[in-house]
Amino acid sequence: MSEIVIPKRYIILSLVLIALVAAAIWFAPQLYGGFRVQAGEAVTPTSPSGDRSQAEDAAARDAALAGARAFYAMDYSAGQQQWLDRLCSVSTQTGCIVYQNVIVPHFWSQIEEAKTITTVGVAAQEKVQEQVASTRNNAPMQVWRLNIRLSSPWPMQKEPITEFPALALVIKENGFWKFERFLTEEELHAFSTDGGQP
Amino acid sequence: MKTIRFLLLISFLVALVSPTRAVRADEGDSPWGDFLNPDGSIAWDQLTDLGTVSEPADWMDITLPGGLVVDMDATYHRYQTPTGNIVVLPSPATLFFMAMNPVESGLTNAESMLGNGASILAMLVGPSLTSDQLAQLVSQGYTDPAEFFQAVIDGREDIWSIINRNFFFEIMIMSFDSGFLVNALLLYLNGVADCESIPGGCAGLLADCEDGNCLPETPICPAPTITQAPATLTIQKIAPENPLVVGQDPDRRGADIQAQASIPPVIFTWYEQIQDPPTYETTSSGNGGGCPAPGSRYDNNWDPSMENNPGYEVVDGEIHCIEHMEVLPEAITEVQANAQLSPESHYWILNDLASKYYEAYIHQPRFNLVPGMAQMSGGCRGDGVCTAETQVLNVPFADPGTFNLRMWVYTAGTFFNWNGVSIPITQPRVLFTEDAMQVYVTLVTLLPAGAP
Repeated sequence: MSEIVIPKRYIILSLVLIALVAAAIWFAPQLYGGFRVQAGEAVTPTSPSGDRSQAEDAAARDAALAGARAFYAMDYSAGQQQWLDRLCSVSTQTGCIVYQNVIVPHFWSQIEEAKTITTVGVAAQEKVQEQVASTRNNAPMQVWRLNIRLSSPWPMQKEPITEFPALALVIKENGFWKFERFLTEEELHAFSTDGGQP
Repeated sequence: MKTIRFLLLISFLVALVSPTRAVRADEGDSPWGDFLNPDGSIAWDQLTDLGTVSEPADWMDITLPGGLVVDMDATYHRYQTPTGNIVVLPSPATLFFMAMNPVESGLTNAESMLGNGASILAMLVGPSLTSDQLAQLVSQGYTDPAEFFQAVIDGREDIWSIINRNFFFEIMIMSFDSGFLVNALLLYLNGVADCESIPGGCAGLLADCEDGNCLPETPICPAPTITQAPATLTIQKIAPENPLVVGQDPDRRGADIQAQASIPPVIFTWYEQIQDPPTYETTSSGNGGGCPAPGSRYDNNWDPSMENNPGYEVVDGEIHCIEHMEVLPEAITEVQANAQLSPESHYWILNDLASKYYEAYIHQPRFNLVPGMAQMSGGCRGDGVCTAETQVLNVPFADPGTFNLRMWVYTAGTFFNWNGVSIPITQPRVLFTEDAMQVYVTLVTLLPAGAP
């Protein structure tokens, strides 16, 4: 009967190797994340509620942008109804009724008379307020600060300015964010002092 | 068409039952007596309908980004009394802005009004208040929303502190949808003589009315009437007889509370004026004006030879008044109810009780019963009575003392559908009732042995 002799240093090397593999398996995720941070990539903790909130904000912001674009992009030759249709397609039902009955009819004659054609660029700056609309079954609503740039002034402006700030109120209606109306700074101030109420 | 206009006209004013009572209380020699009957109804034959008038109002402007301004017009429906006073009924949006800008709008110049600024806001905004908002008002020290609205009129509170900004558009839409649904009559004395300062200005006023000689023609048919039996509202504890705070009750039984509302229908009686077609008649004098074409307008056989023929004249058809009685259910749109520990009990727990039981504190001073803990059920029956009812079981009262039970019932008002036209007859309203209940606690008292 022959005797197999394993040198002591081989046994030590094997144990060290096993320990290294186990350590690599255990620490690999952390190391990978660390490399990403060092490489400058944004690492966002995975949180379903956080994702939802960001998605809601993005949708609300898009509604504010769409409302401002629909209001200020103007081609008199397309007619009053086309302006109204564009507005109503991105507005709340309530907003649409008011645009239809008050705001669009009020401005249209001057727009038509001056043969107004403007393109508009709208940029969202920040979300400045978030509340619920108690008169709309507690639907979420947000106020966004926008910057609006017109290709040319409108005839009925007090001053012929082409770049100005705006505050847009958007409300979630039937699962979709819609544009309601523009607010003044005074209204935003009153809004902000409501303390998030109601 | 004439009948529709007539119905629209009366609809503006018939919904004045409750405010009218308020005016009658101090009627005396009040100018309201010019056109209010002793029973509080409107004497229509004393009012001249001046129609609707609009005028620019910078206190109603809407400002948009970029220096755009929507110049809103204030819109009023106006009536003139025999003595030259003017009664003004603003549109809902106008009314809202008037309440918000009482000086600029001339609201403060009115001699008096059916309702006041606070009630105007209550009418416009009240139905949209949620239980949370009502609770917020209570936390600010307003036990009645009307007190808050009065504070808004007085400039001590901001209306936007309790209602959403989006409500602004909804107020405007009321104007489109409902005509003059919200009723608040403003009375301006000597409106004819001082017409520059009244809402709507001088246009359309009748001059020389001081001696009452500008009375309108007396209507042929009776004025419409509305009647409604009082609503019944109750909120009360129904079991157990002596509820114990749940902390001392091994079963944690709590208390059961019942809320009920029953609103009888509005009985709206109106008269339709029907005139028979004209007829032609022969004149013996030969001085008739003839009977102009077309012949189809005459009730009897007409012949072209009767045109410009002095031997014939047109006789107007007879006028009939057909009475219609409508039973209009007043639907309940929302009910809110809560139970709140009274301030006295609040004080008693934190002072008297806490002096005997160290660290006695308030556990839960308020319960939002409806819609927080239960939903109302009900509807309108075939007889027009609308009801709502619920029982909130096992409300876990943990604090001893008196709990005030309060209930608000919101209604949709009543509408009369006439040939496809929905005409508001009475305004939406908020009904309120309250009661109180006791929650008991067992207190241990040590007595010396053998004491008598």
